[in-house]
Amino acid sequence: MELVVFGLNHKTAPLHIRERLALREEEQATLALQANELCCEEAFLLSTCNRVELYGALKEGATGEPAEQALSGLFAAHASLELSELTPHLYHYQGDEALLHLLRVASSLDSMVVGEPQILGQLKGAYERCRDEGATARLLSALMDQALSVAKRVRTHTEIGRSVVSISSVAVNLAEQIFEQLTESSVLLVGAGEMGELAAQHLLQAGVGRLFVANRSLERASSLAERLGGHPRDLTELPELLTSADIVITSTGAHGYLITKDLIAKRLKARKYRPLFLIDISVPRNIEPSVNELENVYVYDVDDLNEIASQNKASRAREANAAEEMVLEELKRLKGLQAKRELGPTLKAIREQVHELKRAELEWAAPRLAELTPEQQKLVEQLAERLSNKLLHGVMTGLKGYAERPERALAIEVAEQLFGLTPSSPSQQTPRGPRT
Amino acid sequence: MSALDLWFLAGVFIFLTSALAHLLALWRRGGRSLLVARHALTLGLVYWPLLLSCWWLQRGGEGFNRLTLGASAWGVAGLYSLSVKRAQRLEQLGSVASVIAATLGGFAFLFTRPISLNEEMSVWALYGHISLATLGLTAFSVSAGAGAFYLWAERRLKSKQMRAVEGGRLPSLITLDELSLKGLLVGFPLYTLALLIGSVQALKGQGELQLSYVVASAAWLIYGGVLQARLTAGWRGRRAAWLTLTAFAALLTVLALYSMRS
Repeated sequence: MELVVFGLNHKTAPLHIRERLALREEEQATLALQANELCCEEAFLLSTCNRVELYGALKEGATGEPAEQALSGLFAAHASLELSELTPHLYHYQGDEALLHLLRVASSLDSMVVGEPQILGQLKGAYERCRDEGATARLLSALMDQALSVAKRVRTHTEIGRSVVSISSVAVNLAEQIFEQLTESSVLLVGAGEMGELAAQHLLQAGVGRLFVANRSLERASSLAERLGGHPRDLTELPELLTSADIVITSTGAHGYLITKDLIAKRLKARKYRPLFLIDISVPRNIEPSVNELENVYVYDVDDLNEIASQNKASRAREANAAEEMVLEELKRLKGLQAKRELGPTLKAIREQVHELKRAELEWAAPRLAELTPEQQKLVEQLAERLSNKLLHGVMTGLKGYAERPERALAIEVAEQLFGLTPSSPSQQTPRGPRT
Repeated sequence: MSALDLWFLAGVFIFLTSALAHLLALWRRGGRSLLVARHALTLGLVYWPLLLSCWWLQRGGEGFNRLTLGASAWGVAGLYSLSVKRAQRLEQLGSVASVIAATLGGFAFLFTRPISLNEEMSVWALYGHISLATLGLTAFSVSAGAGAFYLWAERRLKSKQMRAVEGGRLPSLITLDELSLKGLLVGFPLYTLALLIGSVQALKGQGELQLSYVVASAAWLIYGGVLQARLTAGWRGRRAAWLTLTAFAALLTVLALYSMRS
């Protein structure tokens, strides 16, 4: 059985194709079960906004191309697309390539935003849903455990997911750097710009206590406040609002500064010098840059936020290289483990076979050696033991040498034939998992 | 230098190692240095009580000043270790806590002279003075450490050097400011009492005005001023942090003058 990955993602398919193929949660197991009927022993489907992928263990005897055709047909039927429309966007990995892909996906190295944390949960959820419906069992379970463990290792040992890369998230992060508890902070959103609304939403998600929306048009302020769950205010109240707010976001189309150094300076005492974080997302800017010179006041404009976001992106890219190396190391380690697992039963059987031979020969010789002294008898037993161990040593070392070589399966087969090992019945076989 | 002096030096070295490793971890944002810093701090927490017990057994009351300073160093490190278990974000303050512990330990090392019990002060007044002054110094150390960290973090935020990645890993400005204020609130009454006992006893004696007394009084005045401004006028942030550090520098000068005398 071999691991196979089949599907498309944001790199290979445009949105209109991805949305046709996207699966609802309840559809994932159904399609996986259909794949099992076609060519897989076990399968599960991952469907996110950036990818739809099938991970499967091919049935014994199922080969790459027919399996690929069967799965293409399944996907095309689900997406109600012609095969010719879908095929150019599909990819197909098998064996080591498939395992590497799974590890990269789990580690968020194949994501649109490298390092995003959601993929791990999505992957786990997809696997569990299909497992609960009986589409997958123990064969893919070991691989999933390995993939999740590698992903966790990558997250722990690199900083790939530590920095935020969107302007709104950077703003939230900076706010947390100033105020310990955002729940006790209040936000004032000045203007009804889209970016400002997005930043306010992020802050609300981070738990800010109160939100005020101030706009020239009270009607627009009310509509936005209602949408966000805040309180509308007229822009003429701005000076008073600046006394009570902790975080101010400006996002208006106004030309000229709405918030000046003088305006803030006059409010500082009334604010009891509490910190004030001003986020200016407007272009042209609405906050006089020199406001940043005031004590306990911090001004970040759109360029400042962008700068931090791009630094973080660069940092993620650097970390991604380290993460890629880590994934490759893990792949090598997993292959080594798998090779040992595959060789294990043969090595054990050969050892048992040789020891059985030794025991039988000693038993045969025992009556004939009765005249020997106990010391001489012990010497003969030792001779047999040493002989069998020496014979085994050469065979074991030779076979282990094939552990990480492509000819491993052939070597196992030859060794089994040479030692006259009869393959055990399927029920006695140790499950080896999908061969990668 | 006696064998025990060398052991004191080793204790200072342990806290110093932790401080340097913490600073390196802060610079590199974690890594192996943080592990070294944690281990060194734990070692210090085990080492210092043993060292101080030996010192007490050997010198008794004569070694009281060393004992209190050493206990303060240990107390700061212990307090930090306890706090960090409750709030992970405080871990970055490890550099400050271990620098303070190393400094207090350093002063404990410098105070080699045993207390003379037949000077102008009565024994209990002397013990009270030293204990209160040391406790006050410890609280002020925490206040100054938080203030220094505040200034560093505030500068990075102001100059836009603060990478958002640091968010969630460093204590917020508000936390640092509050920690600095708490240090002042605890330290000021203790220090005031210590200064009062010291003044009364000094007046009983020769009444000679010493430089250390003048500097100690100046430090008290600055601390009083900062506390007054913080509590009544709502001062906070950079200005308060600078004044706290100035007063602490005066306090360190007092300690340096005393250690030079001993």
